[in-house]
Amino acid sequence: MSTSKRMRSRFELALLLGPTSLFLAVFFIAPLSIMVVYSFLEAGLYGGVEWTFYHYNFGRILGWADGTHEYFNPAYLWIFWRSVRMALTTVVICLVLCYPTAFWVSRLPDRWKTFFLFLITLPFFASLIVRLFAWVLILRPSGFLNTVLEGLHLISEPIDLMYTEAAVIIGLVYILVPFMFLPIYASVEKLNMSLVDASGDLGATKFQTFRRIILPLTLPGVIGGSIIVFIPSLGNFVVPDLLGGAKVLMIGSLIEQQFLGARNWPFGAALSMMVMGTVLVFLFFYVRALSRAEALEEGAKNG
Amino acid sequence: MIPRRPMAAAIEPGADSEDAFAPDPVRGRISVHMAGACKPAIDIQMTDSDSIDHFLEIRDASKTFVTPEGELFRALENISLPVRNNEFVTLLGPSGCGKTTLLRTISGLEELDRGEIMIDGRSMIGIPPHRRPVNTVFQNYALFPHLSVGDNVGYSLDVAHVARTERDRRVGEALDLVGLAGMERRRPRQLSGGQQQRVALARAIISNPKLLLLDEPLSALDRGLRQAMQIELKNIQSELGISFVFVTHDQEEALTMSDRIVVMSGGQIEQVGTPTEVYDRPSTAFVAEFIGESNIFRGVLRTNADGESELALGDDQTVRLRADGAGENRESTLLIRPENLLVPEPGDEPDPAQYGALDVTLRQAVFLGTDFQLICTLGDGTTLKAIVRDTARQTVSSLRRGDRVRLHYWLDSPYLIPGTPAR
Repeated sequence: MSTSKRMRSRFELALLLGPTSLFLAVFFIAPLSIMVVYSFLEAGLYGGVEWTFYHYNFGRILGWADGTHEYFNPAYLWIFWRSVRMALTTVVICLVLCYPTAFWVSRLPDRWKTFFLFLITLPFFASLIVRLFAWVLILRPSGFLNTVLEGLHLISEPIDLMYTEAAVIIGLVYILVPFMFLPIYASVEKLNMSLVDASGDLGATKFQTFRRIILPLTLPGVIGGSIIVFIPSLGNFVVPDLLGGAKVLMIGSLIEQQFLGARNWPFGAALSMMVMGTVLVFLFFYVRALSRAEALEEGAKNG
Repeated sequence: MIPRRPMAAAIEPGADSEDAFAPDPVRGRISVHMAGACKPAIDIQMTDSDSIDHFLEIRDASKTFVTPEGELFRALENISLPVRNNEFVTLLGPSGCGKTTLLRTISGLEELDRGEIMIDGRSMIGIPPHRRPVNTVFQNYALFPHLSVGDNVGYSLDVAHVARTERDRRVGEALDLVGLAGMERRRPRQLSGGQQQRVALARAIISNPKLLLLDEPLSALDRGLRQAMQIELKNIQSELGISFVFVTHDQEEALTMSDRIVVMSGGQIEQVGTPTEVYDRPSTAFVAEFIGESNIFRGVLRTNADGESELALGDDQTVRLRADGAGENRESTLLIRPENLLVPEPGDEPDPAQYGALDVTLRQAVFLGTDFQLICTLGDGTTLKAIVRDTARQTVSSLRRGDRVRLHYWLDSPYLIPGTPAR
């Protein structure tokens, strides 16, 4: 009786999980496997791949190229490092913008809260390309920003922001800021303000209260938002293409070039693996921090 | 009558060291509890000039909030209140009466618009909460969910950078005092409501405040636990020898625990007095109605043919009373507590020279366990409540709805509420 019941519930579980599992297998696991395999194959002369094992794709990036067909070029590592640096800068700027704002919004009356959350999601209603071209119009030498600054006599000649790292970071922050705001806002909104009162009452200064109470309790949102912003900014190629041009090459653009321009699929795949590896390292630390917190809660429930 | 602990005990130097809450090894906790369970029957008369005894003094405090609708809400209006060392003062009133606001201005979480708060002879104007020598037990405990019980209790020592060994010892002692010895490593969520309440208490007293503020700390507990905690809180207070300012809307709680009760309404103090004072001699009709059950009559006081004072009711009956200098032809408010009305045994009519009588119609008799509550109406439909004991189950038990009943009262029991015209 109980066995058949268990069988039935297993069947139901399989039925419920089936579509999702199938979808992920076809559209996530399979393409990813193709990329992993390709990254160890030789590039075909006119695109495509030769089915021979070939580890020099990674050698080209990391330094063990054979020196005849493939050359080690530190430029790839340099581009890679620049991408990580710019992604981290984007994360930090988003964090600095969103953390105080989340506290400010969480203290507004309810109808204003709803309005501000609507404003945060508003950019999603317009095309990404359109919004980024608007930034081109703002940042270019004869653009809006320079016109205003010159009009105010703050600068004597236009600042050329276009095709700089700064322009790319502005663009990345601009498109990714909602992904930082929403998780932080969720954790700030949950924060019980009487804990802040209690901390002050117990003799903690404002800084101590922040470090010992507010920060630890909002950390899950901060970490979550940072991960969600870091991953797309590391692999992004649209923003660097439009605002960084050829001067600020990021790893995402490089991968795009390898697949579409140079038609060196295995090398593009190898670069992608590098990006994924980096993201996995960051995710590892995140999941470890998260599971530690969950283990704590689990212990609390069982106790 | 148990004499109150001498004042000197609260201000002697040893009392504010960490020894203050160390359990007495000789007497042990039980004897302390029993001593503390007896409330001082009569409060010491206050002498306002002797301000050195007033650890806390609130002077002319006013605070106005702006509501979300843009209206002004006067939370506190000209509140003045001295609190002595080692005194258990309760702020009692309905929700929105300003009692919690007053508590928050003492702890510094709210600033006063006008007036001042003196703690230990020092003005608290501009002093932030973390630099005030008071601690608070919050309504929903406000325990830090990410910290263990030990870290919660030791929080005030940690932010003050107290050495680890001393900190651990004091955390142990504080948990011992509230009956949670050895629970340092638990998480707040692993504890029951009553235990969380104790952690909040231990956390608030560990740094030896001279004044503890409690914001409805028992309201989230169930009835049995609440009553046990009332007695325990009172014991801990006398054990620590510090002043408690306790906020509640529960009059029973206030009567049980307090040395003095401050009855508040609409941001103002209605009355300050011992539990017996506010119960027996309420200074306003609000106090009379808020504390305990009450029958309140309003009318013109006059002198009858026998030279007695009497108040005419709506149905041509009168309430007689012995009130000296009650004044003639004055609008007056009269209080008769339900328990002061009696239903005599048949054939046992009280002496009319000592007892008055009211003829009423019985509407409902509710058995409360020890007593019966009778809900009656006068001739003009006014409701009158009486609480009578009928141990033999003969007089009240035989009454039926609609019966005419004669209620008696001792002529001393009707109480003229001073200075309140009919509202």
